[in-house]
Amino acid sequence: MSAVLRKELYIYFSTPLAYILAAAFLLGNGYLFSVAVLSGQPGILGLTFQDIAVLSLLVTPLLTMRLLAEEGARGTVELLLTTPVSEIGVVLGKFLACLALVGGLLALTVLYPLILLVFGGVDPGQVLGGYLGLFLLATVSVAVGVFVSSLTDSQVVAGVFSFVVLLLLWFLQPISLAVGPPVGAFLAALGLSTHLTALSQGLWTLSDTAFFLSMAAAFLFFAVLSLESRRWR
Amino acid sequence: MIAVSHLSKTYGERRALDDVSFTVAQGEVVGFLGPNGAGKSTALRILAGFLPPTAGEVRLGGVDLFREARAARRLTGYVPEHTPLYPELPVRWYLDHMAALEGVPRGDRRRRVEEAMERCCLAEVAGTFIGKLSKGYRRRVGLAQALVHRPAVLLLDEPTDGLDPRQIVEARELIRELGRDHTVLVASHILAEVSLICRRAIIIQEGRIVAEDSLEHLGLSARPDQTLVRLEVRGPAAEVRSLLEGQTGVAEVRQETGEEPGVVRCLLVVEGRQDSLVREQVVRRVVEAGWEVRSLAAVVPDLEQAFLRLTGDGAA
Ligand SMILES: Nc1ncnc2c1ncn2[C@@H]1O[C@H](COP(=O)(O)OP(=O)(O)OP(=O)(O)O)[C@@H](O)[C@H]1O
Ligand SMILES: [Mg+2]
Repeated sequence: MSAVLRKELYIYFSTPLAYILAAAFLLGNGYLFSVAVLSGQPGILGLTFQDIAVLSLLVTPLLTMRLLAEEGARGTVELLLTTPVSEIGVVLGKFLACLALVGGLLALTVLYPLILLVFGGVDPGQVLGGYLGLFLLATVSVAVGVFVSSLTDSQVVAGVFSFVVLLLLWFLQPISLAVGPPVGAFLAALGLSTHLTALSQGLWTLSDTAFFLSMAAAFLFFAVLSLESRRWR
Repeated sequence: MIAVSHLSKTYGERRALDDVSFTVAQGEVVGFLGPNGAGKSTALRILAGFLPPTAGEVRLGGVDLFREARAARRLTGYVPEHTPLYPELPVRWYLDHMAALEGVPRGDRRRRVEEAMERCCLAEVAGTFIGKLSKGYRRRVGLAQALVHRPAVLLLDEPTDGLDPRQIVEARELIRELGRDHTVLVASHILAEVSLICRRAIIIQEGRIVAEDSLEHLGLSARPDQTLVRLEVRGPAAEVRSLLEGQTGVAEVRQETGEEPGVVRCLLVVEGRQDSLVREQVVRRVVEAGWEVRSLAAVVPDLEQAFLRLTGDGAA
């Protein structure tokens, strides 16, 4: 697993993609942050975390799309699966490498909450909660990306499809309002944004944390199954 | 070292391997020979532990490939068809990565990587990105990757495919050399290649083994005291044949299916050193009998012929 992790990190940092995405991510966040500040609304911090979350959902598919699709397209998956490494090791190695990168991107945005801390007198607990929420969100978005990337040999298909899945999961809450109970309640419970609300107020809850972690675990499990099924294709 | 019994593989409806059994002894270099679509790659994929077969058993040095998959995979080094690699990685880095995947302990890795690079003459490109290498070098990186954990068995799928003639020669030499320390199974559709690298060949066609023997016994490398001549004569088949069979120096006449009616096509096995004299004499007799010689050509034994012969289609 650690060998796979190391290789993925090496490839991320040896290609321009990670740097370009980091720049775009910061630029986008900077723009949204300044708009939010200029609008002078209350609850800027919550808004900022919301913006970072949405932008991170746009960026992660671009990082995850190559993870397994590229191995399939190049045929290296055949080498990978004929070494003694298990499918779980492959999936976890790739997941952790990408999660570390997305975590790094999130850490870069710490500038904006810091500005608010210094000038706006916001609650440090809320900042911590917000980042915990963003990181938990990243575990899910990366896991979804790894899974979708295992389904196809085409990076473009993987990128677009995981983007669609993530947006759908993100907007389940507003969708659930339109649907109405009882189905709506169920959809809302699965929505990513639903479980981020409390954390972005600085309220840590076990149930939200467990939700993100189990979603991530479920998608990673699907990814392992899908990788195993490559042997049968 | 490799014991395959009753191996079958079906892709949906399609039977890629059909009840294949063979063994390869330790230290042997065996050619796995067959035309396109014969099932060579399928067989190697199964042996490497990538594909599960539909039925059958494989043991590698006594280890069951399916029950003890991890241990068995450690025993094999595999170079898939077209040698897939990561172009973003430098050669040494990549080999170290593969060694780590294969479970080589951290302390030994450096030495193993250097050793593999030395064997495959990669020292001067150790720091080069794989994507920048020529095809020949890439093939060598593929081989080095398969060697780096010192596997007992090497599985090579068309290792010289797409190389220029000089690189082909180098690659063959390297593979022959590897045969000293490893049991090697080389898949190829080029007979000349197999006859240069291997002593023994397993010939597979449409998923079935049609022959398995040393190359001499298979008649694939023409014996030094024999030459093959293909002759086309316009004339009555039976009489032409009996005339040819009566010639001194002609050991055997195999009639082949001709494309044109009225033209007899035969493969003559000519014995002895004086094959040119025999050829002259054969032509003279045919002309004297009033028939036309359409063509006469020395034949280098090739796979297609071998197949025709081995599957019994050749003797019409
Ligand atoms: N993944 C697959 N799905 C369906 N059919 C397949 C698959 N892989 C191979 N086949 C079929 O199985 C047969 C054997 O294929 P295989 O690749 O093993 O042949 P080969 O001997 O390696 O041929 P080549 O010399 O072209 O590499 C072929 O008819 C091929 O079309
Ligand atoms: Mg093949």
